Amino acid sequence: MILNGQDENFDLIVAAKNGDQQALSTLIEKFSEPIHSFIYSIVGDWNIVEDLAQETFLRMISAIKDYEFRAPLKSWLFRIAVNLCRDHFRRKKVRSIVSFLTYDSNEEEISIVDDKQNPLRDLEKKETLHKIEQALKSLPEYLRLVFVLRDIQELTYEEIAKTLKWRPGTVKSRLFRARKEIAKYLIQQE
Amino acid sequence: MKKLLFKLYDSVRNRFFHNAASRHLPENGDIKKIDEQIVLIKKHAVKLKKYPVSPFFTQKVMNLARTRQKEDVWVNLQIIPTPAVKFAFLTLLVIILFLFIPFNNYDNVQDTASPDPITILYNVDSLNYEIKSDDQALQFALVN
Repeated sequence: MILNGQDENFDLIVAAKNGDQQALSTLIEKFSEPIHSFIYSIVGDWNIVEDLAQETFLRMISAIKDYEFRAPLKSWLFRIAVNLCRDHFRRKKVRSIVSFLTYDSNEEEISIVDDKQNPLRDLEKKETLHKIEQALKSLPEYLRLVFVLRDIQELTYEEIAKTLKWRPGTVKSRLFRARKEIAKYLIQQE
Repeated sequence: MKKLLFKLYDSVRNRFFHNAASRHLPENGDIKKIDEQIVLIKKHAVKLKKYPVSPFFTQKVMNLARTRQKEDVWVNLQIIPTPAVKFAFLTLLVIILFLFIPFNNYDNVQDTASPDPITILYNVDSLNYEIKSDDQALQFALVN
């Protein structure tokens, strides 16, 4: 299905496809917050959010000429971000195996996540939010993805299905599981 | 029941529907508790949407894109439309190179016998020149 005029950013996208730099900047401006927030919710590491967001938009710029309006631009961008997050997890896994093999007991353990530097802490100090973040981290990747896309980014079920290339039924059942797991986690924390 | 729950969670901000749907939930304590938690999560999770993006982010991305574009080899091949055609073009180029190297290699050059100085000077292959008559002998003597 091709969306054509249905995408609210249709004119901007067409201009960007024709190489309009201003249109590209506007698109980046428009989607930078949801993309940053999405990546943060998935990887949970403030230090690499900007790098991954940057790479998402660089890929958007280089591939926008081939964008065919088959899904809303937002879903398309989230798809790119999901792939980058997965690559990051794969690299992290390899790094953790390597560091395990070359582990030196004298080395001081350094935490990657520095909570003091996290501006989200300053922005929103509510305990519930912090708990939800912790609960999110406890979820497996596929449940975290569906929860973040629906309950944080507020994408429709159809958009999530297109972004993650799942069937709508799968989206619903996994979302139900994700919410239930988070609820259980929060009840346990009480 | 699942459908009802989905409608309930998706209409957290619609208090009328939320209250109506909640009345249909079973009175089971555990389910009620989980349901309350999910509604709470739904209410608060949206706040995680906020993220303090650097004010120079867009500019940074645009600058990086320009730098990368200059470095990108494919930009010089923009006349070739799709990546598949670009790939085919490069593969063909490599095959042609591999096919032509054997015909132009050093061995072939070495095999070619170089002419001796007499042949070069007088356009006559002196070693293979056969004298059959007196006239030819005289001519050879005059030329050489």
